[in-house]
Amino acid sequence: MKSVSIAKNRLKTLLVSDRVNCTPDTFEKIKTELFKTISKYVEVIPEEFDVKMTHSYIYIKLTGEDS
Amino acid sequence: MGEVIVITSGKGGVGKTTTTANIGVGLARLSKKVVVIDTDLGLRNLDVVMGLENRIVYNLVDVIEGNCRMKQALIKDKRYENLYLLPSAQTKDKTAVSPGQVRKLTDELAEEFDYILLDCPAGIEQGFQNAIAGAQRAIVVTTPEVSAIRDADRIIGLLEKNNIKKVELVINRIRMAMVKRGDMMSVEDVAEILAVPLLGVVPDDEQIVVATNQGEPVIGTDSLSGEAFLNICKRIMGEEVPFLNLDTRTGFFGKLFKRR
Repeated sequence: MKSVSIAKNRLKTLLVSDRVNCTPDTFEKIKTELFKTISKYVEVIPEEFDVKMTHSYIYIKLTGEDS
Repeated sequence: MGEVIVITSGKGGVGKTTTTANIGVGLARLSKKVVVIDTDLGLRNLDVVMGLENRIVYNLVDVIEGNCRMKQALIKDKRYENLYLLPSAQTKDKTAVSPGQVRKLTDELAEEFDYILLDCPAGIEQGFQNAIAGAQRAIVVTTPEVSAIRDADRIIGLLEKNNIKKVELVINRIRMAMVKRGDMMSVEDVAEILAVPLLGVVPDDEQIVVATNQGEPVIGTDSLSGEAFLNICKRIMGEEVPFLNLDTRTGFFGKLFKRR
């Protein structure tokens, strides 16, 4: 594995916990619960579902389609 | 009314002071009236990088405490008569001034100068709060390393929390050969992770060490880093400048045969 990929993965974990002040474990739980809640009302593709956090926003990817 | 810009990073040693000095020189070259302020109380450095350490009489704390007038503390640059330095105090610590006092100072300077650049100390404590107090705009300097990017990310969060709307990124010390090998994060990687607009990319350049040894800016020397800093200055002024292809001139032969 290229050292860049390792760096990026480590950063991702670090930033998620820094940004929302929670552990990677808690973040996974949040993700799971968001999935459960949202899929109650709209169609969500499990493989494509993803949650991303920046400083100001939480992005939720539902189906992988762009629009 | 001048624009107050803070140069910050969170982590130390990523090149904040060198960046501040070179942006100051670059903007002055572009005919702007500029003052650079060292806000790192107790660890004065910007004067040394600019080669002005022998001219200091008064400092930032003297101005704030009223021991001298602003004009007495401002040091004119060796080469550019529209560039000034307000040095930090070497014997005081960060508690000697408050954010309110710094804001008052930058407000006053904004009446006379086009750009007020604040070199922020490392860390997120009072020194940081002092440096950002009067700023409308922030430049976050980082290097393509995990620790530096992590700290930059925290700083960006704090800047947003403190209502600094315009936050831009400078990626310093990039080494294209390592990026190509997959051993250094690329500009795109870093910019995507931090999710703020990119203001510039500065290559890791030996010329910066040489220039800093002499207390000279790298802008004005025949170097890729100098060119990169000058482009950053133009973008600060609102000009649209394409990003340098850092690949094209890696060595002597690269310089002779510019690939376009």
